Amino acid sequence: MATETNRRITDSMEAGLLWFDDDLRIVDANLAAREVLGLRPGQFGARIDDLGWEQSDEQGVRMPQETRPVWRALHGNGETTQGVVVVQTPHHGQRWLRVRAVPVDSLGAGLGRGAIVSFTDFTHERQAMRQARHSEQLFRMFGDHSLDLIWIVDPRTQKLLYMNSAYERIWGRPAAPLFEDLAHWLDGVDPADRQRVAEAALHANEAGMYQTEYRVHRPDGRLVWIRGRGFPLFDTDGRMRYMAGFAEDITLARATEALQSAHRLAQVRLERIVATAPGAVHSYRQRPDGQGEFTFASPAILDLLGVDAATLVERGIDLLALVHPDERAAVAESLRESAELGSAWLATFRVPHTPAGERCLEAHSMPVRESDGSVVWHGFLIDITERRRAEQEIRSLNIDLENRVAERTSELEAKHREMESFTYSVSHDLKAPLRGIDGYSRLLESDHADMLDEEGRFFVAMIRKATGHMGELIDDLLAYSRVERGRPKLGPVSAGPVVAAVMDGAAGDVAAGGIALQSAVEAGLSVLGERDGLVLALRNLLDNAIKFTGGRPGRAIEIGARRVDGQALFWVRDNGPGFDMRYHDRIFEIFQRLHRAEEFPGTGVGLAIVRKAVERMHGKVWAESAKGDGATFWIQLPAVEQLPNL
Amino acid sequence: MEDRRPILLVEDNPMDVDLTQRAFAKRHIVNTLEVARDGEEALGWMARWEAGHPLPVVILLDLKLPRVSGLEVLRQLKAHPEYSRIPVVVLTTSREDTDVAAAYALGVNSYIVKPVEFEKFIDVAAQIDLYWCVLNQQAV
Repeated sequence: MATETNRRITDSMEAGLLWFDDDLRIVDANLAAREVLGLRPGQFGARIDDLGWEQSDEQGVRMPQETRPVWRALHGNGETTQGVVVVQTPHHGQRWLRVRAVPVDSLGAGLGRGAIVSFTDFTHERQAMRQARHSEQLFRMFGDHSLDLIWIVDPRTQKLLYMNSAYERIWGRPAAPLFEDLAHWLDGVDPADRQRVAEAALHANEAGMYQTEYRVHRPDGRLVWIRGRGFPLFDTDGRMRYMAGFAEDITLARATEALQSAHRLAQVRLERIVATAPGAVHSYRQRPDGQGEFTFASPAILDLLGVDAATLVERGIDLLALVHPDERAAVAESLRESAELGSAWLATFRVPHTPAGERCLEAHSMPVRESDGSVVWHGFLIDITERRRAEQEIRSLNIDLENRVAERTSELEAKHREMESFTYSVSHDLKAPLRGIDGYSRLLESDHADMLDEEGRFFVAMIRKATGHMGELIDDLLAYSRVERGRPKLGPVSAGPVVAAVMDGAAGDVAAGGIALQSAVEAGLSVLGERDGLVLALRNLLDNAIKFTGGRPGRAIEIGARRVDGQALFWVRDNGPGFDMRYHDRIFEIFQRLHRAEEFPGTGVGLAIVRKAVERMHGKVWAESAKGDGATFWIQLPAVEQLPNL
Repeated sequence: MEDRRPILLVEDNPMDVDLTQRAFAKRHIVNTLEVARDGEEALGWMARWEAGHPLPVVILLDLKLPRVSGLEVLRQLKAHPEYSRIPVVVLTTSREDTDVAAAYALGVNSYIVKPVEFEKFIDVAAQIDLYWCVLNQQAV
């Protein structure tokens, strides 16, 4: 047993002290032991097991008596034993004790052999250690579950202290080389980005944080975009202990961002197009039950339908409700047809209530059938009110113009008829008195000549001559006016038969006059004209030639036709006296004569008839001559391709 | 056998009536020349024929007549069941295609354009005499 001094000493010790006898009963305990274990003096003399205090090892396995340091010290060869014993105390819970047991021959006066056990309680350290281990485990678990790379580097040694498994996942490379040499950090980084990555820490902010984005080529060929962040870790004294950071795979984010920016761009572009497009752009849906609604409309729709785009879409207003009631059925039908055939919807209809009153719209859109059976028309509406108005104006102007033309034409036709009836009257009324003059002068001449003297008979002869001339004039005038009668019926006319007919018609005069008449018509030549008109013109020219060669020796006339530059040229050439070219225009004017009546008979109407007949066929006529050396008259008409052999 | 029935001349111009008479005389045509001076008067002859007046051997019809036109006279004559058989020769100055066509459409037997010269007038009279007063009657 301890003396008073010894007790003081032992009670002042930090370690716990227990005295056991060789029967394992507690003989004594110092203050520390009593406090740690909650041992009361009344319990002295009892065994630990008797107290019900369970003892187990570090692994929590119950310790048999033989394994306990005390027992081993009492039953050993006198050596000190030690070990860790976890004691379950009733008041102080589980205590972790590092135990040393020393066998002694005498525990003191009156006491025999025993063992002195000293222990230190490391329950708190043990708990702290466990907690620390737990934290690290949590940290590692957390790190391994992080999608982002987490790393910690000791800046003094440039050693990698920690890195989670994300490296192998993101970089597609083993992590081990990095732990060997941090220089492998740049493996796989795009050469263009390497310097920037290596110097990233130089651009750290005031707090020492830095960030950089770079490309990494994985061994499998994939390119990934990385966003790396680094920052210093300080200890409680404010000294930098570590550098740590994250690296995040932003490939998807970047792609998404690019996509989003492309999308935004497309959206902006679309909005601009929609804003500047003429009319309004819309999506109009018709549900399977036939109910229609707008799902999209550009702002301009307000002007066209009288409802702003937002209201239109929010309230799901049906287009048909806005269409003029008279046209609703037709518009619905056109929509139905477009939906059924999948064809473009083109419709024109009126909308009665818009800010500018009633408007006329034109719809252009394509139907798209959706999975639920509804049909959506994407397209545009344009305002054609002004266009309609202009069209109507043009139409009414045209009608007006046509009416005026018709009016003028009928006026002209009336004038023409008046003219015809005038010439009809002339023919009848002038001829009737002329017949009287002729008849009675003839009777005077035949029946009463013996009652007249020489001069009287001369007068009668003059009256009869003048009468004859006047008859010719009236006949020619009528022939001239008849040329104009009716509208020309233009068609292909063969030149050959026409010339032949004209020559036949003059055969009698030609034979009688001993004229050498020759023809030169290009084979197969056809013109666009009027057969009767062409015959009339050529006959007059031939008659003219016959007349003007009259009384001359070696009378020769040539009549011909040939094609020149898509035009047909007819000509009648004679070797008569010709005419002064100064008057070449005047000879085609009615009643214009270049010769005196004594020289050549005539009324001055023949060539006027020629010109009128040719002009009716949209042709040209002209004459060439050298005075005293014959004349050539030309007719030009459009040639046509050879007629089919009918 | 020459037919001595009258010839009806429908003519408003007295000078032409006179000259026709003289031309017929020159040709020794002895048929009586009865004259209607306008269309109305010409149609009036139908009543006389009803009353027993001898029908003309031929009617010489001018187209341009006061009041009722020559074409109207022609139409009414040709529409009559009996008188439609009287030959009608249109004798006129008109060369109008439409007049010729209209006259033929109404069933005229011949169409002669009045010449200005008296000699030709006599020729025409001769043709009328030969054809209508001699040949035609013999054929009946």
